Amino acid sequence: MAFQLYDLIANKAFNELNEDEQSFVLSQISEEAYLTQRKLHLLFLDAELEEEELIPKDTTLTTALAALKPATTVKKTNRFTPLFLAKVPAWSAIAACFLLYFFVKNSQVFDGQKSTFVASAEKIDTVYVQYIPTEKKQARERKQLITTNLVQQAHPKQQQPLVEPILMEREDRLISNQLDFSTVITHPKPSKGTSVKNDPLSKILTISIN
Amino acid sequence: MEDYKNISDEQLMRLIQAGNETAFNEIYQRYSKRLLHFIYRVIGNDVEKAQDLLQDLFVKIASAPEKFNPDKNFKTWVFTVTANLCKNSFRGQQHSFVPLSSIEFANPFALMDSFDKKLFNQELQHYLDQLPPVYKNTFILKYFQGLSLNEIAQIEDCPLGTVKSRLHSALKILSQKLIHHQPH
Repeated sequence: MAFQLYDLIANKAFNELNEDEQSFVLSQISEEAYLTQRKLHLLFLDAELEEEELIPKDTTLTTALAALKPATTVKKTNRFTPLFLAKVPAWSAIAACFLLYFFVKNSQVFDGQKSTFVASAEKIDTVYVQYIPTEKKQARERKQLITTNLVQQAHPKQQQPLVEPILMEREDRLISNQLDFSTVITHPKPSKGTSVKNDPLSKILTISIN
Repeated sequence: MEDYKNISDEQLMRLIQAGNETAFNEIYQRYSKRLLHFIYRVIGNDVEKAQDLLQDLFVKIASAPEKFNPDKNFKTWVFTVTANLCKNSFRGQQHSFVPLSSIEFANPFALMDSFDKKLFNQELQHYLDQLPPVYKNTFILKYFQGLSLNEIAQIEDCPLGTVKSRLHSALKILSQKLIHHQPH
């Protein structure tokens, strides 16, 4: 109702209204109110209402210009990019997942039983039968080779010592750089081992001392 | 510079989107004063605040000109942005609006013989500030900015009938307040 009333106020004076319009207006407002609102409407339309002179500040333009973006560079986009950026409804994404699941489930490529059938083809296809044992043989040979090497490394041949070991009471002195030759040479009665006279090390030492 | 005066607002905005400063300057010259008056009326006679909001508005336009679709009407768009800016500035502030139910019809025979336009403007602004924001914005866009009803409907994002209803409500309230100023 209000919008119809505004249309009438904006376009017609009260005496320009026809009977239907007048009866409608009078059912809403009084004639005096209509006249008052009509006068004010015409007054408000007067362009001289804006008396106060307002001028924008000088800094407004400079500040805004400082914020103006430089020419935007056109990004090179792959033509397939929209395919990945396109939004997909959740239900279609779920449906696609189900379809993929059933496809994989029913596929022969990923089926375990079917792969067993492929293995049984050895009996028919001689290429498979010949090839697989060859591989196994090579693997066995490599295994043996490695085992042999390990055994050889673990048990190297022991070289025979040039000098026979001598049992002494103070063996630690033999290890040190300063040997106590008197102990070695003047040992009264060695319980075991070779006599000093026949000992090759004693011979060498005696010669070097003399 | 002379060439830019013959270019439409929408074409100028295309140039601004490409970083053209002269085009921005032209748009500023066309709309800054008008928008300042609009803001000034809407927020209620605060020149400094109106100046600040105008600056905010043009900084927004300059920093994100791509937000405007050049296929649409620039005037409608810029007034929409400005109206929203004013609405945001209203938030957090307390205003005293005149409820429609509280209006009493003044005596229409109490018209004054003299019509003081300056005083009338002052009182108009005073009573405008008391109007609910939706009535006030619609009224200012119609009677101060001279926009068509269809443009206002786009700016306010409401049907045409709603715009007319708001204008009538504003007119009704203001006519009661300003009746003694009416010229014969």
